[in-house]
Amino acid sequence: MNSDELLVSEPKVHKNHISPIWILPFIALLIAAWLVYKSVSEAGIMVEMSFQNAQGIEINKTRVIYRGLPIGVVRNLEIQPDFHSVIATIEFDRIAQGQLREDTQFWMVKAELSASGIRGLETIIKGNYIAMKPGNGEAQFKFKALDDQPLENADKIGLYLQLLSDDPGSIGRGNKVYYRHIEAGEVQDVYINEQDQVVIRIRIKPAFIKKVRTNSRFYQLSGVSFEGGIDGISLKTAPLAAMFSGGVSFVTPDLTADRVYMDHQFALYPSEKKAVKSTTQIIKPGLYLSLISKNSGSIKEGQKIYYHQIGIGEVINLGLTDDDQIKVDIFIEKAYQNRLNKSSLFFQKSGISLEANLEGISLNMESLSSVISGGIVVITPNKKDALLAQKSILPLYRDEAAAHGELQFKRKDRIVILHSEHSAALKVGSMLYYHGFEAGKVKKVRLLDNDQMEIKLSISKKFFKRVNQSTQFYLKDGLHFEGGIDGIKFSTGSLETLLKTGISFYTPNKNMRKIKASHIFTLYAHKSDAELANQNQLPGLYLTLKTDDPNSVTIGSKIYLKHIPVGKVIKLDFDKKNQVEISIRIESKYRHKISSNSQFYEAGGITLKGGLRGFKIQTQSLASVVKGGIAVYIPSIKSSLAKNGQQFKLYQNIEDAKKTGIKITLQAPNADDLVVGNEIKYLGLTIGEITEVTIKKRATAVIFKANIERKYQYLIRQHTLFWIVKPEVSLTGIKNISSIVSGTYLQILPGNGRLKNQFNILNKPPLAVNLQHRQNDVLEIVLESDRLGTIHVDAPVMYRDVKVGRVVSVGLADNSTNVNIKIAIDSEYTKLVRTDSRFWRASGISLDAGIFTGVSLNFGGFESLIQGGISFATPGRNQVNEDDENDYDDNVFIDDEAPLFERVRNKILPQPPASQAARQGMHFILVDDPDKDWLEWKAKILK
Amino acid sequence: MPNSALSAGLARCPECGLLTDIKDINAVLICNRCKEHFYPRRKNSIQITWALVITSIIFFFPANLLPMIETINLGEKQSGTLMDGIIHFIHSGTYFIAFVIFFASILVPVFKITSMILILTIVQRKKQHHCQKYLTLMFRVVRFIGRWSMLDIFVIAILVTLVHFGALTNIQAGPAATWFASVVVLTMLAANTFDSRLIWDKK
Repeated sequence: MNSDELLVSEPKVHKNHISPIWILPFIALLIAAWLVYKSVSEAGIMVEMSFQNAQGIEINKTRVIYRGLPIGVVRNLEIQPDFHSVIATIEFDRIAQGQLREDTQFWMVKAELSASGIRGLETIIKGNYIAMKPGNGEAQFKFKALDDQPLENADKIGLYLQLLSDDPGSIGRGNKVYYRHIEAGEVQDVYINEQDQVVIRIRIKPAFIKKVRTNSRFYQLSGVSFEGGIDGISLKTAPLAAMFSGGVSFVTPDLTADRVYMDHQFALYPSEKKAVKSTTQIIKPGLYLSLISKNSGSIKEGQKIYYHQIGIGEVINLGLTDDDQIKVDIFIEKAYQNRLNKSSLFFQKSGISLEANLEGISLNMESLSSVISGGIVVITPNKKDALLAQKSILPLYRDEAAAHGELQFKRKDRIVILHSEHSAALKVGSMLYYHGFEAGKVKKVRLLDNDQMEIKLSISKKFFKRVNQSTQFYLKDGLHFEGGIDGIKFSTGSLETLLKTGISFYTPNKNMRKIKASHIFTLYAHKSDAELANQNQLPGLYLTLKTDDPNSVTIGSKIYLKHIPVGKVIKLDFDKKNQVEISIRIESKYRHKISSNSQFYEAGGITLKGGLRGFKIQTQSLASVVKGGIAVYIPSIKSSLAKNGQQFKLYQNIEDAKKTGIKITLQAPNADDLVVGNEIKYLGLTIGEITEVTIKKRATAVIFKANIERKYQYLIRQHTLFWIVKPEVSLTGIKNISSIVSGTYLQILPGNGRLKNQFNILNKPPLAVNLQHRQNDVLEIVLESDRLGTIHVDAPVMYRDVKVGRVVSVGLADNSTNVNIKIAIDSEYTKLVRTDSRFWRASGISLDAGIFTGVSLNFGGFESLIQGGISFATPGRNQVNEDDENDYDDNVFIDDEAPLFERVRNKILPQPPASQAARQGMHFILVDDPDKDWLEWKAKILK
Repeated sequence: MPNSALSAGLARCPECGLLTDIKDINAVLICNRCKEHFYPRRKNSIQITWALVITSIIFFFPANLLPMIETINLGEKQSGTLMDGIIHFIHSGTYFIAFVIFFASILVPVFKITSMILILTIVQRKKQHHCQKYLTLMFRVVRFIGRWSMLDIFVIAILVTLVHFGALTNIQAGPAATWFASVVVLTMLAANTFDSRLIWDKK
């Protein structure tokens, strides 16, 4: 029953022991408590805010930002049960707690493009936010958000003023207040007071407080004010912001007036004009005068007084004198007061003078205004007269003429007479200019019997000094447009002169004689005409160029010497032979450069020179390429200087110009691709070119005319040879590859003899292989063989595998038993050919096979391998074997008595040749294969 | 009602399974075979389990109330609690994921905690009960299911490591993650410290 006992007395797991594990929940509790404390202490303040419109508000996103710092987040949004507004629950940071007060204001900030600027641009990216403006009062947790930004910075310091107006126009809160177009404050509020007046409350920034005085005038800025016609056209715009939304501006005529204090009231004028007008009624400093006239014309109050077309004052009142004359009270601004004195003349510039002043209408804005609106012009002829006193009474003349009539004009002007064919729109009174200065006037214009115009100018004394016989007069065209490769030149005078016709003059040569009273000038239509006409009178070298076709040369084209302009084309004409005669003038400082052998050529265009080494494009200066020009080439040969009036030929290009060498005539059986322009070369140098290709009268030959440069003339002599070089492609290689590109050309080999100018063209190169050597030095010998084999013309002749000559011709011997092969040995190698030389066919490969000798393979050079060729050897002294001695040549020297060792030695060592050099035209035998000995011959032959 | 080993005066070595005679119910037993020291019943099992369960209950609140995940989107910080995430998934229509998260992160911990409380209270009661089988089944489920609650933590861990786009988007684990992980760990420990044999012991 032990087990039963055990069962009965089953021990209880005891529980009275407290495990240390209970620390764990305790710590957890502490942590939880801390978390709760933390979240409670950091939890924001929930505030309910009602909005008219929740647009742009997002839960957990839209923040409340104060001075750029987020201080709260919208946590919840719900619409009010009455559907009138939206309630946003905003959680504010703890720090905002103190600011949530009764007067605190909130509003939504959205991106807003308004006239006074772009606001809230940052919200485009970051989303709208709620802005806050702290206020005072009790703590509050329910707010009503404002519809818009509250009066901005109402708390800011500044001068607060009230403007009273009947109609504030578009002025509203936030509009700016400007002082001379500078922002000086803003409109704080617009409201209506008890007197039913609109009150605009503005704030002036502290910096501008001093500018506001009791006499300040405030007026509305109404965007664009367009005042057309009267003062010219004036387009005034308010500052851009005010242009759209309106604004307020103010002027302070007198900054010494009393300062204003807070809430001072001003009237708001609807426009600047009205505001300013009201200021002028206040006494302005200046000169007050009265003008007496019988006829008021179109004079009205407010019209301007002009002095040299500047408004210097205005009419302030019109009245009648006791004797029924019209009294015009005028005001002259203080700044111009000194311009007037007792000699001043006032006259009307009214609509009546419109016709007389016709030119003025279309030409002068300033006068236009006075023409339309009328006005009073004042002139002061004598600057030294006594000044006018205030309230002086002066006469007012009807027009300028009347005034002038009154005036004893003591001018010291001189008269100059011009004749003109141009029916220029010149009128009496048109101005005369000298370098833009007014130098005089047109006094009189009349038509002469020969339909020319005679213009009498009066030039003031000061400028008359500048007139002499070289003086050119031309019509002033205000707008001068000159387009060319150098760019476009657009020169105008002043706007006034641009629109006014007139005459200008200039004097190119200051040293010319003075004019006589009877001197008559020509009036040119343009300055360029005048300049051109003037060319003939300028110092310099005058030359005539003749050409058939002047191409691009025009009057005014420049003459270039080494790309430097040295003169101009002044005239183009035809001579009796219908050639073009170009008159040019070289500036005097370059005239000593132009020698009588100078060559003139057209400098226009682009020269393309192509060669194997590449292309070369040669142009003159870009200007001359486009505009055309003439260049001078001065040969190095000294010559006398060109004389005035000398005639030159104008060449098409520099090549033509340079190639004024000697002319030769060449004859060839066929033209062989030779064309005009192909070059004549010697040693790679171009010495001339073909200028003409014709067929001989009976069509038996082609006649070439060629031009050889003079300096190479000495090469062209009686024995000079000409032949055609053209590309040749053959087994032995490509010859004259350069002629593929440059074209076929003529090569010469100079000869001696007297100078000659008629030649025949060879159809193949002359015999000499190396053209550097004179033809005469070539050794010509004849080889005889019983057959021709592979040998042909041009096949090489080799000595020790060196090419020393070539086959010149092949043909049958006279008796037809043999073949005669004529070979030419270059002059350099003529000594190698001796009377005992042996000739054999170099037949390319020689294969020698024998049982004991093995196989030996010999190449006779690639060229001979293909073409076949001739080799020869020359023995030295004692090198000829006896058995070799044969009857080829009787002149072979044989030393029979020589001992054997000597004979061996003689064979190995070079020996001087045993025989004499071969003579021209000698005959040799050509064998098929050489003897072995021949190959061992070593003749010591010095060059 | 079958007898327990304890009622037969025997205890089973937890290491090698050898039955050993019990001399004193509160004394340490030494296994004859593997020399493992053990008690017939785990010492203070109920107390420790209670402590752990209570701790996990305390931590369960911050785990669910504090933000679990913080998304920084273009510098704009957004934080969401566990429930926010589930709601977000429901709104975006992925009900399955919402369910999985809800199941693993809300249901399972709640189930574990309540189950443990139930088991502990029943075992502690003086009165004899007759639901040993259900309690054992419940306990096994609790033990098995415990590890799955870490799912949410894993998701966060993966998101935090994957979503690192500098200024564009960044995901950070919120403070709740720590508490949530603690809850899961604590409940697992509680399930481990509880000696399931106590369910079968007679009162």
